[in-house]
Amino acid sequence: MLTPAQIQSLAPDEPSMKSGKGLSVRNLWLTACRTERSLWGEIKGSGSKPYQTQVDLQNLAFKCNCPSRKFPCKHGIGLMLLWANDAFAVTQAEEPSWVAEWMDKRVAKAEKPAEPKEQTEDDLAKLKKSKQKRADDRMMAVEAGVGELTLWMSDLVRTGLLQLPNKDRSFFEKTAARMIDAKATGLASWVKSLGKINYYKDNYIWQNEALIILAKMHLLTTAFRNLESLPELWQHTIKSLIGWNQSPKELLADESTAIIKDIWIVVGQETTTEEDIIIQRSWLIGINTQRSALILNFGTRFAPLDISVINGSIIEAGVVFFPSVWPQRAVIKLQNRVLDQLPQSTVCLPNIDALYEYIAKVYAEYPFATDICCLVSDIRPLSNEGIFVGVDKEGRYVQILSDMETDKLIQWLAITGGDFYDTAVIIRNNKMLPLGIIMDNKYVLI
Amino acid sequence: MKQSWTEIMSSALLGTDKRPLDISILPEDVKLELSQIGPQSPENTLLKAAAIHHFYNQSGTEAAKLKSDVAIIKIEESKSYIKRNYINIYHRITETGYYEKEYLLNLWLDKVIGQNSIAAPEIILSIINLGTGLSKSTRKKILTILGERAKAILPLKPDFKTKELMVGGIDQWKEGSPEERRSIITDLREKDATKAINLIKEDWATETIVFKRTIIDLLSEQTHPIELAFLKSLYESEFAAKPKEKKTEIECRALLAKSLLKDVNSILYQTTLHHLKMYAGQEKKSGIIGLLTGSKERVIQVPIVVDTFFNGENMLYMYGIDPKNPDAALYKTDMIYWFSELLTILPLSTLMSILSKSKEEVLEYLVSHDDFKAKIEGKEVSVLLNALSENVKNNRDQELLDFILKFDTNQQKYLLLQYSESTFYEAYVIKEKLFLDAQVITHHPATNEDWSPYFSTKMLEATYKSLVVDKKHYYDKINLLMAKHLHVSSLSRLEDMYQSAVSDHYKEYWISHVYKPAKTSIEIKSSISQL
Repeated sequence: MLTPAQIQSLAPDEPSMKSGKGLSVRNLWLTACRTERSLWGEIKGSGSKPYQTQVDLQNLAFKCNCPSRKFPCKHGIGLMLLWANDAFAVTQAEEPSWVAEWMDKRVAKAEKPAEPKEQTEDDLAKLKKSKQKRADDRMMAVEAGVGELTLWMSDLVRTGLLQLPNKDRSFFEKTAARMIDAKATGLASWVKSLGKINYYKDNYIWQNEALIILAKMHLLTTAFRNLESLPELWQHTIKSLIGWNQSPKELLADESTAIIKDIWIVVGQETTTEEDIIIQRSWLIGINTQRSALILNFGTRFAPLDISVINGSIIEAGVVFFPSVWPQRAVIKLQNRVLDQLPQSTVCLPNIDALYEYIAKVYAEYPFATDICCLVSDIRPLSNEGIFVGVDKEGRYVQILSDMETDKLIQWLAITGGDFYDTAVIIRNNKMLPLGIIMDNKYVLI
Repeated sequence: MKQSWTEIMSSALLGTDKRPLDISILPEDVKLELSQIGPQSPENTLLKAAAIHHFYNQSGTEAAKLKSDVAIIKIEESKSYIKRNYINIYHRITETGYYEKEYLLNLWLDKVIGQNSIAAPEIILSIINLGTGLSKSTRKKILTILGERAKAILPLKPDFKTKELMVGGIDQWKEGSPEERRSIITDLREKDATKAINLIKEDWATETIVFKRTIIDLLSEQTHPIELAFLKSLYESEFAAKPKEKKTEIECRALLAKSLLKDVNSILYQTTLHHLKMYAGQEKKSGIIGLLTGSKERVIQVPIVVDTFFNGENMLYMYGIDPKNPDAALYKTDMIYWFSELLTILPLSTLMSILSKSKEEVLEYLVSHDDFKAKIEGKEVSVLLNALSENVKNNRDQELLDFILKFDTNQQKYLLLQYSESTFYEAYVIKEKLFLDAQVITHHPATNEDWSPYFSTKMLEATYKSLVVDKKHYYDKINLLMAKHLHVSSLSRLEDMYQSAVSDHYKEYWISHVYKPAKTSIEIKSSISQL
């Protein structure tokens, strides 16, 4: 069962959540029932017939015949909240036809994806040829872009980074645009990040940030120039960093990709907006495989984010990873059910020393790693000389990421009461971002 | 490592043209890596060295250790956490509107306090955030239901102003801000008036005049019998009239006089009664009754020239009344003005005794006698009416209020309703059908309780009729107040109205602005009462 906080994360906006809360009262619903796989209810609206609201609990999805264009609508949120706040308010019943039909269709679709159109050998040959041509063209464009960027970086280093604070935004934007033209969007992002540094900050900070970005870009462009000599997995990784798209559809369709079945905790979620594109990052940790996975969701103002990955939820699912030297980005291929609590204890890194060893191992395998997500045993929050840290029982600590919201830190203190708990964290720039704790076999978000 | 990174950084900042990187100072491992790559341009060498150095550094970092051993401090709670049903109601309260939220929260807090429970960890942050910006009394209640772990968090939430709530300590009385010190006395007076007055007396000599006025104001508002002796001594000594007084000192005396006049045993009251009796006289009744019967009535003959009582100096010395008549058109003589000022603080029983009249007769006399009338812009007005209105505020005299409401034609008279008792107020509003008068409804004296069931139903019916039947909007604040104050018993009437067949823009407006918020609030109140 989802918690009210998780349901809140599904709401498209604040007014919808507020309206949903208003509807989470049992006597407003004519019916409110559920099975193991579904939840449904009927509620009186402004029309003559009541609205029919239904929720797929296994593979979270909503449907309602109200006229709202918001998704999920206030009725969907209200029904979920009703159930979350009072399990007895929703009765066990057999699915009526309007629920059973929708659920059966969804189950069938999940089990059997649409068959691709049959193609002749001729079609396939043409397709292959055009695909190869596109790949060749792209490679040429990127090679040109990489050459240009190498020159740009060399010029910067030759003349000195002290000039950077005096450069206006267009200096970086122009080069980023050139990289986009060269179909190297990954490199464009690196250039932009160089432009986004706060050059009015402490000199030491901006100088370090700038040099590290340039060093990583240099490493990446050098690796790209040596692409053919690299193992296949590294080629995939480098190309992905440079900007080659990774298609979730292709990944899901590829039967050869291994499906990692596990009980996954959605340990954290972060939503950012970059140039009108909403990017949602969801971090998952498998309790048996101890693997971490990053699910990316993209949306715009007009195309809302997919809401199937709920922050803090525990799901039994099969996950497929994009090929990489350090596979992190993944897609959920099949989701069986949502669990109320963890069926077994989770294996965590035993302490902060072990966490550092793990980080070192990750960097050794993959120096471009940014967010390292893992579970660490017995961590507690502590204010150490005015700076918040996550500390283990041996007194080893990691500084908390400075841009973590104060209220989240307070929430962490409130939930733990200063006690040690197994904690899901992200290590970013050698600092810690706590995401949630395991308490009484449940995962509690911070 | 640090030194070599500084070296790399220096070359990067100045540029390899000016300062090529000297790889000989780099750590052996980095040098080895660079040598394996082969000869490079100075720029490439620098960037490669930076990359290798950064990754070595990043992956080789060791965890820092706290200077002292970390004690495993698990915060233990002595009280139990509130149960799930309490939490659910709390979440519903957070979703209500601004007007009803604090009221509902207080009802809920009272229940939690009664249960001797504390806020569950999952709502600690939320309730602290919710409390920030709410009244001090609400925050005090919140503080009561915060357990040890929540209290450990409070220093991180300065906006909650915890310090302001920790009143009562002798240290805070000695060192707190005037506002905090006033709170201490307010709280202490409720619990132990003797202790409060002793605390006041203890430091009185060293208090500032402004703070003294604050305290006198507080005491004079509703004086406890035990405080009278102290106020009397102040009136007679420290704030007795003297040459070259400060304005604040005169204000203090006025407040003291107000307080002492409420006590029929005080010397000030007795002196005032004695003086006023001397102005009591008899005159023929006015109008046809007087002509026919020749009967006489007792009156106050306010002198037309200054005398030993009605003079500026005496008024200032005895009552702290500003001797200067501010409106010569309204108050024909200074004596009438002083009498009017006296009337603002004098209990009407004084005049009843002097004139041997009932309260109603006294009031009738005061507002209709020619001596107390003036012509303003061609209209005859009662010059003592404002003083009588002030008297309602000072003495909370319901009969006087009733009289003024009948007599006064000024819309401002409704503001006096806030000084009435709820039953009086509601009966008056129902009788006068003032349900849609925002100025009246917003001054219901029951600011922190439900309206009576009958009044709630009447309010509902009146607003429904206006909005849905007559299609006339009224001031929206009335809806907000209904959401806060409607009695739980009015839910059935509310539902009946909701079920009625009309469906248009006005009904929709009624549903969203009256029905939904009121229903939610009533449901929450019911849930709280069942806890």
